[in-house]
Amino acid sequence: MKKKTTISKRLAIGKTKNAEQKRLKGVVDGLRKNRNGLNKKIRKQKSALAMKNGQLKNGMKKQVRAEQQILEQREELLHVTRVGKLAEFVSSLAHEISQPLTSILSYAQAAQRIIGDREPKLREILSFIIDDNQRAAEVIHRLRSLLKKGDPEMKPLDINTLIDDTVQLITTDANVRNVVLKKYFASDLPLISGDRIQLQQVLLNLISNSFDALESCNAPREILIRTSLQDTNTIKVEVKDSGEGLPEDNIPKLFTRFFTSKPDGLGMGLSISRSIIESHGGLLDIKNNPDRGVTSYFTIPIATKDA
Amino acid sequence: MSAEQQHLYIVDDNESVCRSLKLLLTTYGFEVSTFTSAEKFFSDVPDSDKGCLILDIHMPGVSGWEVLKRIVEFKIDRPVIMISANKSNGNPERAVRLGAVGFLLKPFTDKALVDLIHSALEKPTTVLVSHNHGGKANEKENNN
Repeated sequence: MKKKTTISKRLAIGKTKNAEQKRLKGVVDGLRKNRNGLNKKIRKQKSALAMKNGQLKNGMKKQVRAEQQILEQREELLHVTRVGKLAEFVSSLAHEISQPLTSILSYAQAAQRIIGDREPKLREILSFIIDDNQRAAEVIHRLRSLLKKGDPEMKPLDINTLIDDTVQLITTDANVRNVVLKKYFASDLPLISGDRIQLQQVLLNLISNSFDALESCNAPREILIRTSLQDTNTIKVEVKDSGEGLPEDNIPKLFTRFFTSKPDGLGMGLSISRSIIESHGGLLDIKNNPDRGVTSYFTIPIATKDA
Repeated sequence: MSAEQQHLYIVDDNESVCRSLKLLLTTYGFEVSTFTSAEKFFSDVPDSDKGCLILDIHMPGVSGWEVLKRIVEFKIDRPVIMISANKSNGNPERAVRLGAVGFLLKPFTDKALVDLIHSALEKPTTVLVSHNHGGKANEKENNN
């Protein structure tokens, strides 16, 4: 009996064990299912996270770009202020210097008339004074026209026509200096948006720098003005001379106000020219040519449709 | 040189400009008086005194523009030549529009100045005077 009981007990236990095993299997299956579900969820969340991460990165990029823009705008503002200050400064400087130049000129001319033909040596000295006075007056005049006050008037312009018009202004000067001016214009260039007078000032400045560079040059005196499309949005203008070139160390300094490598230079032209080009959204720089001479060049964005 | 010396008045706040222009213009036979302010000029020179005025634009106190305006408004028979070290703001055009004979940018040569003085002294001066001349001529014609 006892044995029987044990067997039946055992049987019962076996049954329970089976049931238990079944239950466990169910649990395991459930767990497996859960795990798969969880895995799926994790995968889903992972990709959502990656997406969010991407969005965040994008957002950060946008923020960096915005900060960059703010920085650039601040720089631009500073620049505009600087150019304005410079114009003001030059205007008052020109006025102050013109006063003594007026009296020096009149004194010298009065003295010349009083001396008459009596003292030819003195007369000659006085004429030197008068010549130098006029040279100084010319510098002031040039400087003033370079910094013509007033807001820039942005209009759609054809750069080739603008250069043609500017070159016409200095053809006589070029002939007197025995300089050959050559033009290589790209055809069908899109219009640019700019202030005619200001851009002419820049061109005149670059060309007159080239004139100066060719002053003591024995080789063929040549200035080449080239226009080209740098990329779909930008036009490039180059003024290349066949002069001696510049000491490499001096090139960055040329854009510093009051730095000059010319005996009668003021050190204003290039710094003003660069300001003008930058206010047009372009760049202006100078480099030595591989063979000889210097190329000064600037870029300028083409006019957008709404400009 | 003409028997009657022609009188020039120079008004400029810069003393050296006054002195040098006086020296120079005296050599051309003019009688020259200088004033370093518009106020001094008006208090010293009666409106009826003949002569050409060489007038600086930018002066402390009464400016050259105000002097010109007064001369034209009061119909004073005095030709005016405006001078300035500043050409901007359309100064040359403005000077002529407001009744001046001409404008010279400092520094200027004696030739430019003397030519302008001569044409100023020859010409009937203010707009009003030239109108009167024209009017009289017309009247005469009508009377005939």
